[in-house]
Amino acid sequence: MNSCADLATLTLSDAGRLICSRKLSPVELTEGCLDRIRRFDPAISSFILVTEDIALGQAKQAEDEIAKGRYRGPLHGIPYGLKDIIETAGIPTTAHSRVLKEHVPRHDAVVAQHLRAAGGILLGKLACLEFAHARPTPDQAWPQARNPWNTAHGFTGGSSTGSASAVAAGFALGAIGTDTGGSVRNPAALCGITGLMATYGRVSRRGVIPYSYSLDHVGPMAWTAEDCAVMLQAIAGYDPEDPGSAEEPVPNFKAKFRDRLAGLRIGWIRHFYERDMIADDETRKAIEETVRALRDLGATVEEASAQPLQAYHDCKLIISVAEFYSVHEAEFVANFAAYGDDLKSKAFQGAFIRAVDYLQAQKQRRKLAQDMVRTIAQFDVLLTAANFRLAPRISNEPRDSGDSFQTPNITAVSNVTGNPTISLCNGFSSNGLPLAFQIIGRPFDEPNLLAVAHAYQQATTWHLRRPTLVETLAA
Amino acid sequence: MSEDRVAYPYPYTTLEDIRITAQRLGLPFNESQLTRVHKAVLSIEGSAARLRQGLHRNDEPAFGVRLPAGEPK
Repeated sequence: MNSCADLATLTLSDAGRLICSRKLSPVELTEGCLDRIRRFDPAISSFILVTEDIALGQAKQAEDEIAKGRYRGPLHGIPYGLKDIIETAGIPTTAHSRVLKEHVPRHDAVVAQHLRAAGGILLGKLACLEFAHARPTPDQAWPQARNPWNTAHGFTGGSSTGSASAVAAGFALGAIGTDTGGSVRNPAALCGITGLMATYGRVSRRGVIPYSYSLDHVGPMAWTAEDCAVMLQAIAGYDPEDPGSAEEPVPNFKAKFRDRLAGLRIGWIRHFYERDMIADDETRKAIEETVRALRDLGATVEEASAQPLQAYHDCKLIISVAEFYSVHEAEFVANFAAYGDDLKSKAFQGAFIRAVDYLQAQKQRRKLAQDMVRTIAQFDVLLTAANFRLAPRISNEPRDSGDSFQTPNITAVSNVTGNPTISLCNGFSSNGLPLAFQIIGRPFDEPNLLAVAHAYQQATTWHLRRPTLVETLAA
Repeated sequence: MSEDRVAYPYPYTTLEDIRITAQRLGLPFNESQLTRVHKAVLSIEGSAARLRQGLHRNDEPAFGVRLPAGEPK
């Protein structure tokens, strides 16, 4: 590690290779991350809590183990962050809410256990939307995370806000987020990094504070598809104590990595963002360029059709609002004042959902999932937009929560169907903000999904760009 | 019942319904917040009504919510 600037360009996978060959010290790497956090995070607010002593202790332990030949694998000695709805034993876990400001869990979430066992270095707990649901409002206990590509007023998307901004700012080499309607993939898209939501059931949610338990997923966020594969390898696996967990074998997630995609069939779902909703010109043009790049790699790309976006939205909305309130009802009534202003309005909507509507939505969800299986059966993967427009401006003004609920969200499709989906950068707008697209895979076929994303990143350079923090701070 | 006759069969929630529920639960919402909740609830009920257009009666197993993604290969 030559300088703080080197850290900004280093990927998790590259760092892992350097550590494995003893060309990079985990202690120096961790110190470099902590230095960047100290220097730049005051303007970005990606961390709620920096666990400096823990990180340095784990880094020293990793260094000692590796020196003695006890190398654990590609996450050994790698600094990462956890979204602060993932419980950590003895370390506060707040869900970015005053409600849990004093909450110190006794146990690690399963995903935290896995990362610890893999030898990862926990840098701290990352900001998010309150309970992964509400918009940031000034009455919350911590500031909202800002987008490193525009710290002045760039929103990071939601809800894994700090996870995306910490990676994009070069504070952590990877982060864990959670995804109920796109909360890994959307902030990853807006911050120019890669975000992976694995198949529903692939990663245990035990110890993750729930938002909507039948839609919640846990997923990695990092610069590249390869980084996400490395992280997923550590956190995937059946957990009999998570009712949503699937008893599926865990494959080698890099097994299908290759440079060319000859013979690969890609279904291009354009109607999600050209008819059901209209994406901005730059997003649409970037996807057309992406399709050209994938064809150049040898893939066949043909137009595909799924159900209208509105169908997924209606289904997801009813399920998520009902389940969120079912989780919070008792605390909400007892501790109303502690909830943020936006969350108060959002949570209470759940009190008015009829049981029959919730059950009908679950029934519709099953139909939509089956329909997606039929759609993707003709292809190896599907391709579509990750969002409809660039990172919006941060605003503290209260917003009519009905407005956003009337707008279908393209990432929520995969939460409803449970298909593994990755979002990755495919260009930059005229004002320098990241653009992105999504690849959707067959259930439990993450190796193929990751292989397509990896081949695309090998053939392009978008994932190599980094925000210039000094310049944005000066602006 | 044919699909095109399926519509939302319940009265839409009113602002007064929301105000009364908040009062009974002792939740001190202000008027602006109640209005925001009401608009959102109407939007959700619109989703519920649309969702019914795509459903058929008795065409699903009576029980079970397992997704195809969760079934053995």
